[in-house]
Amino acid sequence: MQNYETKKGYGIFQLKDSKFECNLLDFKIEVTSIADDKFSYSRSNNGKNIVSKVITSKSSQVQIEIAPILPQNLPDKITNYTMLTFNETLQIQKQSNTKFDLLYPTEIGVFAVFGEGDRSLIECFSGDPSTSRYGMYGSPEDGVLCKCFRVSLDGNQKQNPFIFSKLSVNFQNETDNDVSLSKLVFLSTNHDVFYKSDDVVTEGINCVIKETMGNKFAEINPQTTESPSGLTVSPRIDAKTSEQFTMDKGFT
Amino acid sequence: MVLEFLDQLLTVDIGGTSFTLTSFLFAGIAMAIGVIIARVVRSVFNKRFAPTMSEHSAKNTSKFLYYGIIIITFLVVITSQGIDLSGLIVAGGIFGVVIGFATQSVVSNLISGFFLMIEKPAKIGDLVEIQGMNVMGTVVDMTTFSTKIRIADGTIVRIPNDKVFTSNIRSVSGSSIRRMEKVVGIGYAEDIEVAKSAIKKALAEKIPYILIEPEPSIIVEELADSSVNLKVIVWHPKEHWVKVNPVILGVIKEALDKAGIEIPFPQRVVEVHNKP
Repeated sequence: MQNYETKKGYGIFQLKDSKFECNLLDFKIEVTSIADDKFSYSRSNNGKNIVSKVITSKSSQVQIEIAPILPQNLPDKITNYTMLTFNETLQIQKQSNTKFDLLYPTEIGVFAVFGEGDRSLIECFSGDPSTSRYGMYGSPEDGVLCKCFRVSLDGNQKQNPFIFSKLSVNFQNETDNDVSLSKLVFLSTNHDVFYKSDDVVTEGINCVIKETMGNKFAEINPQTTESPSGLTVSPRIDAKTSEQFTMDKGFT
Repeated sequence: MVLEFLDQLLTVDIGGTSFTLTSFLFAGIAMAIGVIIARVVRSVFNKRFAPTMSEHSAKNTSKFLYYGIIIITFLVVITSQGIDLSGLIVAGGIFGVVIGFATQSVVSNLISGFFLMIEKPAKIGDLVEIQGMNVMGTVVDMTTFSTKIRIADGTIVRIPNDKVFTSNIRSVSGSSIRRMEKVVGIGYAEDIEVAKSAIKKALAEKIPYILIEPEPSIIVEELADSSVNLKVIVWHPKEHWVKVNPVILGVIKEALDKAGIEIPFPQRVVEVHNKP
């Protein structure tokens, strides 16, 4: 448990002297207790107030959790699907496996933690709003609307944990031909996000490319691995799902 | 004994059919049971089946069940009282022809409403355009006789179902995304590629609701009298039309201004010839 003096990074923070302040990227987050069951919340950027709220609680014991969350809420929450479009086309040799560590955008969730651990989302925001865009997988008539992010397959990029998380993707080409991929679509609610003060990891993806009757498709599932050691699971806004998604509308 | 006595006292003869107190009581009880059954059926339907159906289908089916049971009960009661309905049928046939002519439009709306329920070209909450009637808005109710549409100014337009049924209906809610096209003119001296690049960059930065896949496209639509007309084609989630349409032209103009690209006024070359 950290107190407010840390003023940086993710974590669960206590209000000290009825006040909590945190500087995150260009934002300043302030929480002030204004009564036993009420506190105010504000987020500002260079002195300009962006969000201001008064929050009521049943308990006088309130903590603040700042944690990375799945990037599905901004600018509006209208889909649970995510499409990653690669800056480079990936060519996977027939009957082979390969693994990539990608930088996957996150949003920052600010939660009020009441008494016994009940959490309430105060707000979420993005460290880089330019990454929050939509895209269509498939045709406009019958495609799937997704949050869409451009990502690089270059695994040596520096990660800013307030903007990106690490996402491990295993590709397995079970077909008898090489396959080119420039996008990956998955159901984001299948995944958890894990964090510590300055590190964020999103549960990985298994992409298995198959072929039936001449049609290639990819089965997308979350990796079933244990939580990374030393990392805490982020609070969820939506219930976790476990549905397989099939990419059957092309890979490029 | 008491009933027999009262029957002898209260016997009414209507059109050759005798009605006694007992028969009235029987008719009343049968009708009450019919109404109770109708209500129970409606209640069970509303709880069990209605949630799985669309709102207007559920509402209309519920009404159909309720009034259907009551009408059947009424006919059973009438028949059980010894009333011969064949005369009514003949009279009803003639009366029906007269009423049919008088209420042609009502019947037309009723039948159209029935077919609209089956075909379901739109459902409550859909954004539709009734082409030819110049009505575009959100469907708020579809009843047996009419369809109500809330238009952009907040008022509700009631359109008879026969007009809806025979019109082309453009549903905007059928797909999860929509395309928007805007035309902007640039000067003939300007670099088209620079203009395209400036517009694309501004759209990507300023309007987060515009899809990046399929990405915005800009084509030269016309070499017009005063300008080279560029058509900007973007896609956006269907529910975000109100967040894209009011701002997109402003963003495009600002981008062209920043890039120093002229949006020309209409121009006319006038040649003056001096008379000798």
